[in-house]
Amino acid sequence: MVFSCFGLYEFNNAITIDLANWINVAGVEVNFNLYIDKLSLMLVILTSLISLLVHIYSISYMKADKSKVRFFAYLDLFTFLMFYFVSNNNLLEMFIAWEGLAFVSYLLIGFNYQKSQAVISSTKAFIVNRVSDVLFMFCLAMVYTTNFKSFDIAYIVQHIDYISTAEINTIAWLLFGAAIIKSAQVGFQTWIADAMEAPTPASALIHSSTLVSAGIILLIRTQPIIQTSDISYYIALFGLVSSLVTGLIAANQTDIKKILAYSTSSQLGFMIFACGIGAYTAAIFHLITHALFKSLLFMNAGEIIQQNNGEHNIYKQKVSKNSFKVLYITMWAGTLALMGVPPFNGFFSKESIFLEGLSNSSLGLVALSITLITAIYSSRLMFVLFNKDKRISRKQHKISKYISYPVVVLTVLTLASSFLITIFPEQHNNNLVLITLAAFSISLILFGARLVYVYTVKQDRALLKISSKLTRISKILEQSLYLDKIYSIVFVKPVLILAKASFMFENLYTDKFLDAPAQQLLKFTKTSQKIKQRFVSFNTGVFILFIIILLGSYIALTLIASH
Amino acid sequence: MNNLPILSILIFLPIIGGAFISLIKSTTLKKYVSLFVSFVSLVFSGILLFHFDYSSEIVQFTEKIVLVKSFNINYFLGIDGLSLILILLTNLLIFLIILYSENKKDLYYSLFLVLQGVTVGLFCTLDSLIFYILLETSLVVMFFIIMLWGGEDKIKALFKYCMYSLIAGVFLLVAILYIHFDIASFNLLDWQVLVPQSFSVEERKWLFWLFVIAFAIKIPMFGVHFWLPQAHSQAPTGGSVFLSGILLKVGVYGIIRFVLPIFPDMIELYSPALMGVGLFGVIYASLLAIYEKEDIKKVIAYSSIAHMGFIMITLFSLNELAIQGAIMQMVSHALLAAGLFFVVGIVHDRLGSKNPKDMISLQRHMPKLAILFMILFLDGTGLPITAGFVGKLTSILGIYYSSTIVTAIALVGVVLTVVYMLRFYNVVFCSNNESTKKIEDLNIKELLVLSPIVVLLVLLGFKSDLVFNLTSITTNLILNMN
Repeated sequence: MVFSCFGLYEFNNAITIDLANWINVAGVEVNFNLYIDKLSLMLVILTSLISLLVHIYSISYMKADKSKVRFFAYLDLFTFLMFYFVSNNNLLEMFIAWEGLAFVSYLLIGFNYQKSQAVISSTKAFIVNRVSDVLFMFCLAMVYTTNFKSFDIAYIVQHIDYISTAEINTIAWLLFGAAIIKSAQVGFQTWIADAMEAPTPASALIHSSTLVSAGIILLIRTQPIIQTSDISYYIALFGLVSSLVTGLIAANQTDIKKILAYSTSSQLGFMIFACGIGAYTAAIFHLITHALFKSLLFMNAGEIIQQNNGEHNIYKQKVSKNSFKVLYITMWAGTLALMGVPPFNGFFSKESIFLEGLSNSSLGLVALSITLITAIYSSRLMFVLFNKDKRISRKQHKISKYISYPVVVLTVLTLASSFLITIFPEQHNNNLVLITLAAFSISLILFGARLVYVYTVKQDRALLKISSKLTRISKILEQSLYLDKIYSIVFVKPVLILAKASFMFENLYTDKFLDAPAQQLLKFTKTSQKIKQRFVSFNTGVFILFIIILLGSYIALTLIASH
Repeated sequence: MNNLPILSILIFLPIIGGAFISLIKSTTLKKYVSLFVSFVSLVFSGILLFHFDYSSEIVQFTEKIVLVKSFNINYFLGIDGLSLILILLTNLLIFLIILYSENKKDLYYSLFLVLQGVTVGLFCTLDSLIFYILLETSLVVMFFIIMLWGGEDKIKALFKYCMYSLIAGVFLLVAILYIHFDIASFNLLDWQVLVPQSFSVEERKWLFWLFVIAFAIKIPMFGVHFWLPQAHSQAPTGGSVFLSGILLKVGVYGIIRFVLPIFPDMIELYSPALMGVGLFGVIYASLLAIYEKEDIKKVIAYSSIAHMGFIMITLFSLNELAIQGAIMQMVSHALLAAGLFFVVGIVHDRLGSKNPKDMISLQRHMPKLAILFMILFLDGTGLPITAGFVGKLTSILGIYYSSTIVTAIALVGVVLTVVYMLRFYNVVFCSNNESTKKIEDLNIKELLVLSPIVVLLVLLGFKSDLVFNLTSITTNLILNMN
């Protein structure tokens, strides 16, 4: 990590390091490369930082687990793959890391393989991710065969004029498809909820800050291709819709990890929106800040779950804010950052997206309104968690220092990373706009938080009445749009029916046309069994076979001879 | 060194060794002697690799003895890169099979050694009649292996296996003899030049289909695959390993050796149809593998059909990338299928069952096996660091050259692959059942059997040149004919 920090100051230009030749066949040449530019350095620092903290956190979290060695091995493998993914500018190598990441994520989700739920969830998540792999692979084939004969993004960008707009559009759509599945956007959001079966430290590292942002990183890396295509507007639109819907879903969950998971989807949707409108620096900034505060929230969530003996439901979890001051404060810090309240980093990164959004497209206003939803689900989480009756009599164990230190460090970073905004070049000098925008979004946040406060803590009648009318919608949202059911009807059922049909065909054919004659043959041998001794008849079949072959070769030779 | 008839040694050493071993009484001694013989063969094939000339465009290590002068039947051997790879695989797998098999009485080890010699012969011979005879001999040997050591339903399985293989044999024989009537030669190298000249289009069409159907049965492609699932599930572990590891590849080898160079115009004409069949086979067999509920060995058997279908699609795409990719996949699948059947064999040894219902959570009991299986899993699903990834990637790129829509459907097959591989993993390693028995993890022998396979898969995943360099000349020669 220290190395990479030095790196940030050392390199201003992108460099490529060739490590080894990998595949070299028929003109396809794949090398192990490391491509280092500012983006990869920042992401390497981010990944190594969070990975380090998660490792420390896990020392205590996984203390009681017998297979903790396996857990740490997976974490390290993941970190390596993430490094490899971010420090590359070659589609094929990114794809390799992409597949590897999906696989490690599968391993971590299914870490508790004794739990059948974990096995099912990991399988589901892996299959969904595999679909994204396949889209990516298709895109690779297309990139390679259309005209480029190379996977290097820089090379592709130079020669992008050689292919038709339709082809660029298809490539861009494929990349986009792969990215949104990986980033668990609406339509594919259930896999990230399934991924919550993983141990919480893994969720903090993988399913909040690094792996799921791989989709965004892909979009950022391939930005010249996407900008050349005509689909940017759709990307922005989709990002917004996705952010909105997953945000609403998050507001209707009761499982603490699932709330955070869907909020991750929502925030990633926000970044996709930023990519769509061309605000790539803002997207990167938000990616970094989001990674910091979301892993902070996940670490705290993990601690809360452990204190409550594995209870995930926020209405049942009991946490006293007095005995866990560190937890309480840091949790608030994370939540405020998530909502986008100054001086936390979330505020700055969101503001930069809003600014770009408003100046580039009318969608910016919609983006602004999403702040409200973010405020609602995050404040709901906090109010429900910490405003319970004060009758927590059960003794709760002390928070280990392995858990509190990383959390405190992340909190400090959540504040400190606000200054990162100075790194990113800002071309907006209009302070008035900036201030109005900030004021507007803060008032939205406050409004949202107030609404939730009145609803959950004060149990306001009017609001309860409204909400009781909305039960049907909230039920749909709670079930994550019934996506699992839809998938099971649209994909799983047909596949199973087809599988059953082919199975029946296979068996019917084998039984009727192949085994029935075989039975006849067996009967024949059985009658001969009565006459001859058992041993002899056992070998009848063998003899018949031999005779057939002998006859065959005899006929063959006579044929040749006669010729 | 150069005058040593090394190919003949590779063929006859195991056959003579097998005959000698059949005379030994003690089962343990049998095993050790046969292990020694197969190891020596393996070393010899290593020498072959060492002396192989990568840049030569003609067949190497040729040996020629006239057998029947009037019919122009020759004992004519020679190899190129493709044959060399398959010979190496054959020798490796036989060595592992013998190492794995324990307490097998009578002819078991001898039969496998004979099979080794015969199969190496198949890959060396350049005389088509000898090829045919060896192909049928391999069937007979395999017949005995399944007959004497197979499972309960072996009669049914054997009936189908023999029937289909004999049909394939008849087709092949008719085609070979028909060609011989006209050009009075069984020499494959002559055929490549003479067949396109001496036959009319109509004749060549018929001959083409005879060859294709014969080899399609061996591969097997969809429509003629019905012998495979039961034959695999009823064969003893060693038999299944060899069947799907090597004998299925004989079909692909036949296509590359006979069909591609001899009928270049026909293949161009009919490749879309054949790709369609292959594609259908991939989806169909994957669905079967997903649905199979009674026998985990059958899951692997179906997956073999799916993989072979994928290889056929790739091969018929007819470009350099595709053919190289197909060969890479062939190597990867030979090792993969062998590994998976060994895993099932090991599980069956422990639990005494192949039924998913009887599986227990093996990941806890056998962590070493679980780790090795994970690598096989990566290879089977075409994920990085394995040969399967390299094969799949080059194949997909190659297929894309010929057709977009085929690529799309093939990729659906890729997703289905993950589904059945995951199901297999979940059933065998993560099931909820608990057992009261104590289950031992892999012993040293089993580790020695599985680790070369896994190591090779990973090695080829990083150094795919090892295969690609060997076959690039063969590939280019085939393509230049087209």
